[in-house]
Amino acid sequence: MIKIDLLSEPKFPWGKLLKVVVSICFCSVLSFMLYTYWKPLIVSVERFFETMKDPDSITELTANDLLNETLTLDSLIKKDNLLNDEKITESLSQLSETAKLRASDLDMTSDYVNKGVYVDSSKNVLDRSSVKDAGVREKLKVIGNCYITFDVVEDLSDFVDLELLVCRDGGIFEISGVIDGVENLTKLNDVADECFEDFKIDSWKNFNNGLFFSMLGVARENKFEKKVTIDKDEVDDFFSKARKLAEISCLEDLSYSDAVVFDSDPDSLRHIWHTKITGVGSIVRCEAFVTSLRSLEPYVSVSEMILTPIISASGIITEIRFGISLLALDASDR
Amino acid sequence: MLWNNSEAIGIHCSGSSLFLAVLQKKSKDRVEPLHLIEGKLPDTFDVHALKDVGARNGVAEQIIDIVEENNINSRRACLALHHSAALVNRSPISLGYSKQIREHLRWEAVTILDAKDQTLVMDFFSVADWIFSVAIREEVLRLYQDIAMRAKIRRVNIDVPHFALYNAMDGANLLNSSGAQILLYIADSEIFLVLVYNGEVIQIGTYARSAENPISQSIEDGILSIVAGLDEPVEDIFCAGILFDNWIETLANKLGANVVILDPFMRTKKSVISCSKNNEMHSQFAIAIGLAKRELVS
Repeated sequence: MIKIDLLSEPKFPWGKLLKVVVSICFCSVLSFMLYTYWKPLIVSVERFFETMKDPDSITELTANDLLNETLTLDSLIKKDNLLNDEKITESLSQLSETAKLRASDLDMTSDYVNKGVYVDSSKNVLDRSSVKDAGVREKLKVIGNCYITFDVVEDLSDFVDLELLVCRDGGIFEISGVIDGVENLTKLNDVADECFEDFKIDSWKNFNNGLFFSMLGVARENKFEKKVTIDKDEVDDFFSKARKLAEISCLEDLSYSDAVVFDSDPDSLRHIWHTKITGVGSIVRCEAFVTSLRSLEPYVSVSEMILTPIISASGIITEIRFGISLLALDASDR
Repeated sequence: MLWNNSEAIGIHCSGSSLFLAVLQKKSKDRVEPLHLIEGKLPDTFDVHALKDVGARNGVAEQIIDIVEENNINSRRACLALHHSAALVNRSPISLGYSKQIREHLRWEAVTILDAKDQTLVMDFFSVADWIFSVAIREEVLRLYQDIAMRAKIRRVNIDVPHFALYNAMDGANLLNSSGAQILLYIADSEIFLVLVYNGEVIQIGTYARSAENPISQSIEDGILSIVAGLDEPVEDIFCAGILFDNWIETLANKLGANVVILDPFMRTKKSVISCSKNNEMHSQFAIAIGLAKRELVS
């Protein structure tokens, strides 16, 4: 049973209210604890920083240090009347031994710490690079030579109405579109030769006084291949910008707003959609969009553009999917 | 007068006809028809008429007349949306996280309808491989609520006719848990298509139809293109509404499918040719039945 619910009244946001209350309680408890334990916290922090001092400065216990320890012990003795002198003497000699051992320990610790820091830092470096190698960069290797997508789009846009341009793994380009006349065949071949090591045209069809073609090509190796690392936030930011730009330029043509919802004449609607769909692939109509994407370099380059008309997802409307995936670029690598 | 909560009304306007079905819940999953009444509207009711107060009033008065004449107690109803009043879209689940897909579908709806986000009411549902979105302008929603208010319907829901058609058949044990089937509702001016795969809706379609040109090649092409991507052949075409169009047989032959009557109360498959007048009538009310059924069956 499919039950869509378009008429439900907006509910009171109990969930959000609960979150706010829990957050306030949590903050209050945290503040109270901070207030209560402020002084011990300060002392702990100071002690922590003291322990972070250069180990060399605390490796050897001086006579003063020993004296201090003895004084501390004296104060303890005063408090404990049950202890006799022998025990005190014994304790003093033990303390001296312990102090010597501790000083020796500290020397060893000093070496150990130095080595440890070195090992740890090198480990960190290794970790970072291994993440880099196993993560984004590896994915980019799979993406292959899609970085030439813009150039392909630009080169073809002069004489081709692109309907589909997909760059797949390994830089395999799948392109279809319509060219105006036979005279543009040579241009198509030239661009294909320039951009692709290997290409084949799968089909030709007459289409609206033009020639529809579908082709596959493998992108040529390019010495300017770009390297990548941008973080998730930057990717999100880019997508957000790309989406806004798409909305402003290409998809602006796709929207319309008369009648209650749609034009009631299905044939004219179909015609409008057909025009718009073929238009989206056209660089003429979407020049602003593609230019906008280019302007976002050096951070990102388009690695995959998919424009797929899908017939009738909803009633008489033709659905389109406009997919873009991106090759992220690291400015420092350029 | 006490309202009966075990009864619900489904109302579907098609051309100048108003189909009103009153169903009664007999058990958890079983409903039975109490009334199936067809009323005539003064004019064709479409999205343009929806904007006209007089036309909305005409629909409301027709509903009141039927309800009063037949002593219908229920004030719980579900109205079918005109097919162009709502935008139904879908996206494969495999594209990413559900939340992101929904956000994308919302963006698509806002963009396609050239609407501001806050003026669009949306809901979503998922099946195995797809997430569907339904978007409707708030102002259009208010127009349907206005009809309900004028018709003194206290508790109203609205639904897409295609989903109502599916709901009418859901639970009747005629939809296969594997394989593909088509539900078709043929009205005077439009054809609704629901593609069911493994028992779930995976695609819907609407095609305009006129008296001069009852079925055009483009509609047949459209239907064939919808099923073209299926891995399995279509087994059955369930037909409702105007049944005896030659093109259905032609389409069925092309698909290698059986043409079966879409009667929501039928327990076994019956071909259109051998169906009874009762089956035929039930099929005409299939959308109204589906609308009422969703109000009763959980």
